[in-house]
Amino acid sequence: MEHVMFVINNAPEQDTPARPERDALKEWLDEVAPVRRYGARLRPPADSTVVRVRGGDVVVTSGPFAEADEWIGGFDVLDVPDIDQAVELAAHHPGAEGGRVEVRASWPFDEEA
Amino acid sequence: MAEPTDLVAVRAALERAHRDEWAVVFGTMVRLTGDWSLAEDCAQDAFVLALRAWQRDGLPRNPGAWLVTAARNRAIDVLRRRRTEQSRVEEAGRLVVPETAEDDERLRLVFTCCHPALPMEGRIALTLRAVMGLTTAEIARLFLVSEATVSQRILRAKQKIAHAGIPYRVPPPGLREERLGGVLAVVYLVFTEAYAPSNGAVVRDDLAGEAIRLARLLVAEHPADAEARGLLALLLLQWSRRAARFDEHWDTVLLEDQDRSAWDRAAIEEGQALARSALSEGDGWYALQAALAAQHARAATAADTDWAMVVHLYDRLLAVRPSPVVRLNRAVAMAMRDGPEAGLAALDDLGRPKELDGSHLLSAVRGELLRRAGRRDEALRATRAARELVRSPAEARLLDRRISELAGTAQPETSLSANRAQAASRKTTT
Repeated sequence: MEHVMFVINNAPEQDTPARPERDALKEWLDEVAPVRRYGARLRPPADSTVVRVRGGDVVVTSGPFAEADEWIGGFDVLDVPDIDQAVELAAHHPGAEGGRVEVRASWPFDEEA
Repeated sequence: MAEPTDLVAVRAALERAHRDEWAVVFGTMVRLTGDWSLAEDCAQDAFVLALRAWQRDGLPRNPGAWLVTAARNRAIDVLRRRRTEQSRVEEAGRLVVPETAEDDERLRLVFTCCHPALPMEGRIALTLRAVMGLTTAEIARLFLVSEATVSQRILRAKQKIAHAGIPYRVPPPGLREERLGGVLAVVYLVFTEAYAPSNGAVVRDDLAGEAIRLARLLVAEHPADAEARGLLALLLLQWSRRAARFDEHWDTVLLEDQDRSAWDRAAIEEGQALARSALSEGDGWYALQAALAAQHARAATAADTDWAMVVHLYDRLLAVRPSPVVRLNRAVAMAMRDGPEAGLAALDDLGRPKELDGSHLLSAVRGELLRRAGRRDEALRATRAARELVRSPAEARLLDRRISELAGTAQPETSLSANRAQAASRKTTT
């Protein structure tokens, strides 16, 4: 089943991760390569763009929508048989140390409840 | 077998089957269908069907197998009606009920119900429903919440199992050891809520006995795990006092006032042996609490208790897990060893930890120690403060008695000690 991992940072926003962190990430990507469908690192919230429709008007503002101590730094979509495997791989992600990784199963549109 | 059987005999057989087979029927249906709600409904239906069928046809030779077959047939009926789930229909139709090692089924069920991805209250509610076979009404009475709340907790847990993909299994080696601690915690909570309800709910010794049975199974399946042994020891040692802990008005009889001849010697001996064995492998949270319970079990009278050893064991317990309630109990033991002022000094060191906010324990213990130190006015104030906060009716009556004694409106009892305060706080040690 498809699980999406959100990598949540609580460190100050940075432009570039330090070298050791990048190495750890590379290792992790190698490990999950067989089950990883897609994923990405994300630009920091300061670079986000927020879209709302109000009374038919499109309102575009520069993000972030609200100041937050934590922010999503990236995500990964994994195809694993159960939550135990998703948790095991999440625990290996370098972002789990210090930060948090939130795992949620995807919810197909044709599935109720 | 073809003889009609009278209703009384059938009801008795069903009650036995419910106690012994519910988890197996439920678990087997989860395994067959992969659908927890369907499994629950079919297990329930099987027991309803049995009431009529066993009266008509006589008691089956193997009630468990009868119930599993009935539940399975019911599941196939339901699945056939759900046209969209064609693959499951075929699967269920094809499946001959597998050889079921009953203990394995129970283990799969309990490990899944106690999965760490479920919220704690969901784990407990689901364990009580699926493993222990309680109805939502019984669970609601146990926790003094509405039936709707319990149903909601169980439903959410079942949904999370389905949606997050929580596997129905005993975790593989490696993961299994890591998960066992979470299972032990749920078994302990079930025992405590049944045996010594913190909220004034009705005591359920039958359910406490079931928790012990489950702890026994966990020990048998994990012979190398000292904490499993420690938990079983702790439960047995508490359980050993069940006949002595209430008087005829269901008022709490304090440890020091209990008739020790009414304690269950067999449970004590088994508990002591398990506690020794568990503690020999290192200081564990349950093993140390069992060792503490064993200290009381060993003393011929309350006055014979080795309070120095009790203080020493509390120190070791604090090293495993610093907890304000343990420090509170330690202060009481200090008072027993060195006098009430020493206990009060230990209480001052404890301060006002936020974990005890809203709890009567701190004031109740302080009141008792002040009373023993002869500081009557302060004792009265503290005990009244505790009375404002206490939730359990039995403990409220205890504090009322104490308040009227302190206020001089009743005859003071002659033998009073800090055991009173300790008994009040023991049940919430974890």
